[in-house]
Amino acid sequence: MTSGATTGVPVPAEPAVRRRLRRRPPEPVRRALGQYVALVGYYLLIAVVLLLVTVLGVKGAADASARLVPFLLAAAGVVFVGRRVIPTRQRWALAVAVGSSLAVQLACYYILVQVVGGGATELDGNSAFFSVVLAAVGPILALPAMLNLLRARRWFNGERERQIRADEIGARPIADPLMGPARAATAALPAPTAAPTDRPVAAPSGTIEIGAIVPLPASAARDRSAAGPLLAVRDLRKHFPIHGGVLRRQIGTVYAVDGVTFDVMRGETFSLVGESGCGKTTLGRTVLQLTPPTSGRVVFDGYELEDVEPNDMRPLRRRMQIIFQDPFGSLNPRMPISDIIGEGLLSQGLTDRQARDKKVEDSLEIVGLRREYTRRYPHEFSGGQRQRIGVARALALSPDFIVADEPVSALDVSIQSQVLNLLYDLKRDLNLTYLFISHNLSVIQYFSDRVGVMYLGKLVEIGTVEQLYRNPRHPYTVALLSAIPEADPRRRRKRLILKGDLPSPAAPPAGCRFHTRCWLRERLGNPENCVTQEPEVRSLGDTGHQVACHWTEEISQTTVSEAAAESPAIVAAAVEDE
Amino acid sequence: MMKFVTRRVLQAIPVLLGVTVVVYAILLAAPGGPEAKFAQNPRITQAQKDSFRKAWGLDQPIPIQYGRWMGILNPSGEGLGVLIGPAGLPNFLPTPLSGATNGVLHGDFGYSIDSGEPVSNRIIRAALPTFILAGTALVLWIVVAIVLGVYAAIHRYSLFDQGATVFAYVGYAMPTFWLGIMLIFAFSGPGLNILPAGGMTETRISPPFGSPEYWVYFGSNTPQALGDIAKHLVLPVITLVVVNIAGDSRFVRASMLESLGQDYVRTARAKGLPARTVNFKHALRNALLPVVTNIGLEIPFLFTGAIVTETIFSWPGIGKLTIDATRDFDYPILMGVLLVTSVMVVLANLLADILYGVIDPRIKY
Amino acid sequence: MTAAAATTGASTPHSDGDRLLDVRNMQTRFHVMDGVVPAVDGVSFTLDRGRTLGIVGESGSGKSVTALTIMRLLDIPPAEIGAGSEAWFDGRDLLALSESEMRKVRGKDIAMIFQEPLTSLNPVFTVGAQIAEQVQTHLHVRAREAWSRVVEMLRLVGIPSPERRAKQYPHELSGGMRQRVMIAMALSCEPKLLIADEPTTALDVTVQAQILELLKTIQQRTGSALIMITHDLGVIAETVDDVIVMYAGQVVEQGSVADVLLEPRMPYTMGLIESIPTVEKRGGRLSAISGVVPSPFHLPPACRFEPRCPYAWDTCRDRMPDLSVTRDAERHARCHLHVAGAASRLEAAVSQHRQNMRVGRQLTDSV
Repeated sequence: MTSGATTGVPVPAEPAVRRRLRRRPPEPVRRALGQYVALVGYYLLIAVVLLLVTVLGVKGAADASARLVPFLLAAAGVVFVGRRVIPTRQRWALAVAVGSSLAVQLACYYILVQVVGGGATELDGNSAFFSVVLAAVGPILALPAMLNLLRARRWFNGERERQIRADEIGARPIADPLMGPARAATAALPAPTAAPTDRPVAAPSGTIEIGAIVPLPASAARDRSAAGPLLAVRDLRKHFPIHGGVLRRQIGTVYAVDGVTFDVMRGETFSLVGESGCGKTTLGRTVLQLTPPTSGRVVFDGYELEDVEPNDMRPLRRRMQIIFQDPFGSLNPRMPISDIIGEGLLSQGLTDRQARDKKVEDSLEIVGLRREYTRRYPHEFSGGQRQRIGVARALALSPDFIVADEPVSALDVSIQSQVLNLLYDLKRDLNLTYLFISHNLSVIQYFSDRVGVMYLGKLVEIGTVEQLYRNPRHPYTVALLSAIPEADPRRRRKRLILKGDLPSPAAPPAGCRFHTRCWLRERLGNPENCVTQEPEVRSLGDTGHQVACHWTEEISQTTVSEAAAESPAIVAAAVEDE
Repeated sequence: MMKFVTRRVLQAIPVLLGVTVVVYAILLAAPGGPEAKFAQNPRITQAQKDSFRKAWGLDQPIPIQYGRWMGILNPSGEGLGVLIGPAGLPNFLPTPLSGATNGVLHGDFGYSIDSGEPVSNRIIRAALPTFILAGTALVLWIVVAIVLGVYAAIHRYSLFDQGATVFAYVGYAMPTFWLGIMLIFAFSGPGLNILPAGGMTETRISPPFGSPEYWVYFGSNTPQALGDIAKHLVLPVITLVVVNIAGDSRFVRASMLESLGQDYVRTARAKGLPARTVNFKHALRNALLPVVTNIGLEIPFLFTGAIVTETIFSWPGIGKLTIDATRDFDYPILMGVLLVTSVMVVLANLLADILYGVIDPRIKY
Repeated sequence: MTAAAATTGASTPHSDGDRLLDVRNMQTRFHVMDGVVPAVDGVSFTLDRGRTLGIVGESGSGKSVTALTIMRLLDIPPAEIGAGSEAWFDGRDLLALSESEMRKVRGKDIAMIFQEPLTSLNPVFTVGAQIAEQVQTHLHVRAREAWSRVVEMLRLVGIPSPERRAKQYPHELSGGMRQRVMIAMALSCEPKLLIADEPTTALDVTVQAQILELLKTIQQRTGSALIMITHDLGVIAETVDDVIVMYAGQVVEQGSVADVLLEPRMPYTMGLIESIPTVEKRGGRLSAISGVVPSPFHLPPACRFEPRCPYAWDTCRDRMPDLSVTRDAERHARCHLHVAGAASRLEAAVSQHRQNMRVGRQLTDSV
């Protein structure tokens, strides 16, 4: 427990100490361990067969069982060695693991030959052959496990400690103009995004106005203090397998998050917006490593969050917290508030009950609840209060990064604004960085600095709120903004209404994922490359505004209003997919 | 659907193999054994005991006994030959391939120690009476339970609902043996002597049920024979129905209540449909989904029968066979009954799953 | 021009021929374990043919219960409809009809669309069968004609290849399509009144835009009246002519949508509008309504909004305000600010509201 922010005092920035993170055994090693366990199963199978064969020959079950003892011991030994020695990650462990494995296999084989050839004279030649074959399969089965271990030898040789220094990330065209000239450090990553600069926005041709939004100064540059982004996400993917068929094999994949790249600067509120099923919630969880990514990188404050050993992950977990959408489902109804909030503190090693309770009460106070509430249970609170408890739970650990996953969606309008104000105040007072996930475009516009628009697992547009809301460059963003119901009757306008529903993320359309519903493509006479070629994310000038559309230059006031005028009165519910 | 069935059947194989092992192990763990019957008998010499053990293969190591019973091992083989059937292929393969005829895998459940008859004959002979008794009772109690449950749910908290609740608790709490004996007491004993107290047929006028002579008699006096069976059915069926209706009607009621509270029932009412359509089309159809699964799981009862009820009423079914076999240390019969029962349970589960898929369009296999 | 008088039967500019629905002093209570919940407490409003009325309020305000009471879809008990309640629809008091007469009204004259289209459709019947069932019940046609009506309706609501879709089950359709099916079902018997209870809350924003557009178009085309129940002021602004705002079971403000949203005259409505995040408020705090909705078991004795009201004074704690007419005869607000003698307070509240709507620091100086 460092940096103990208790009450509203701002947390001092932590010194840039980069402790080395140990990595969890990589996939091949974990797989090898599993394979050794499977091997034991095989030995048990041999044991049964051998029991039968031997018993038939010798007519003495006890004798036969006695002969099996070395086999079972050998099998148990391999697993024991594997499970205990391998995770120590010492250099000799590889040799021990592979060597002992091989030795034990061969010993088993030898013993079996001895049993069959020497001891069990009553068995005929056929049985002997049969048994030898059975035993010989053991070492063969052990081979993949050993190969897996050898494949991971780099891990045994000390490359298990992986760390990326903050300035290595996207060092070249570095996000922040205040950081000065790009560092010489080799860019470990293709630099993705650029935050707003203080240069005037070079508006691409044909700026459009969606609604009557007041023009604002283009410059929104602000001091982003410490070096580099707090969170860097590079080509992150999270796929979920779909199983089916007789053997429950994988028959499909849900591409929930499919190649997403963005940075979140210190002290910034970066929002993800999209419709349900676009992968924004999965992205939030994958970023926090609550669910392991399929591929891609997440670098938090210079630490690469891939396969980090649980013990080393814990201090980072403290710094990254999440607020969930559902204030009813996300609090355990059988736990008092003190435990709900204190649990995280306990797991961070704060075992002193009194200190913990103090901290719990402090965080309750921060979110505007009374200190006495610690002994109460979730059902005694209203929705808004529960959401405050959820915030207090996250804050108790003094994080500096919070993923807020639809924190106000389940709340009534009047309560929603209370919680938004709370989040806003906390951010200001505690110097927090938010990854704010919502489908509510008004809330996002009010609350965030920069926004990423997601569609079917991909970011289609990234920009500051001003850029995105005043000058959307992706046809989906245009439609999304146009669809917001406007509470001010004076601002009623002709909407641009999209056709159909979101396609299934298990079968995303080829090329540009949006092409099945795209109004712009229709206006342009259905150009071929929308279907054949997936649009790259490209930067518009050096404004930090990024968009993934082949035809973004075609978006203009004219095209939009023409498309809106042509929006059919009754919009086809579905693009004919079949 | 075919894929699903195939997968489930494939999954059932290891389960059933496991069941045979467990069944075998349980009987081994039970005190006594086939020879326990005469273990204390001073007139049986050690030599006689040994020859009994040898004759039934009890002198063999247990894995071998199991292997022979299963039909993996060939009892007449020598050395490696024990694994090979008469046709030269492994013994556990089906009879047409291996030529082997012994063991469960080839449909041979062995012989009853008590009577020397093949176990399968005894089981088949007991199955019909059980099927008659359990089938009648099952149909009756399911129908009554659904009617009771649905009606109670629609008229929730009414007098009828409360009456049904009381009846259910009383029925649930009533021990079968007590109810059976009370019924006998009331209808065939000192009270009204109008119904037979036990058995399946009137032995004074007809040959014993199931014997060849009985079927001759049945052929010539069909109405009379049927009436006779029906009369004997009344008391055991009442016993079974009263006891089992309780749980099922509660289940139906709960399911129906849940269904009635759903949004689509409100939609149906908002559409202006008559109450009958709302209740019996929209609510009931959905309420029956879990009920059907439950019924599917009750199907094995048709075979396993009700041990206590059959014993009280001397009904010559599987339940009574089981009790008799237990008393006589007739292990092959017990093994056979337990195994067939397990197969029935596995099949019933499969059937319930398939049925669910048929009646619920949301389920795709 | 229509959302009308608190005291009904009073002079209105409309002849009775125009009036479709006239709800008078509706009271609905629920008898629950902990006591009695006055879910709807003296609600009155009117609706003319072909007009749209929005009912807006937060959860627990009684807006859905109002609709369910009009439809008589509440189970009695636990619900209880107060003795003086009346709901005149097309010359008949719905609350006095027999159940079988009411059944002929439901689905035929008044149809309803619910919030959650997935659970509102029966999962075990095809969507076509569910619509056909209603058509057959009310229009007394044969199965084949009913089916062609189903296909026609599905086409009307913009479902492509309606013949095929009609044979599908609800779970095979997407959320937006299910809501279209619900709309097709509601419209299948050409109702005079359509009640939509949060029809787009469960939908995504682009699909919500589709559904709202569809509702507007169809309502114009068929000329049926529409009651739109929602918590979303944006949806209200987009779809309705008149609006009533409900709080804790009572109507607290009513008027035309432009008036109510642009010049609210009741502090609760003001607070609701102020708490919508907009671009002008960026960088500043939202002006939130403090506190929470009162528990229905412990309603404040006088004005129900008083504990949360920034402008409350002694009178507000003494007497329940009436739904009084404001300066404009068509506008009603339940607030003491509108009684004579509170004019200066009203001025202060209104100017405070205007300021709250404008407030918000410049974008650049946030953080």
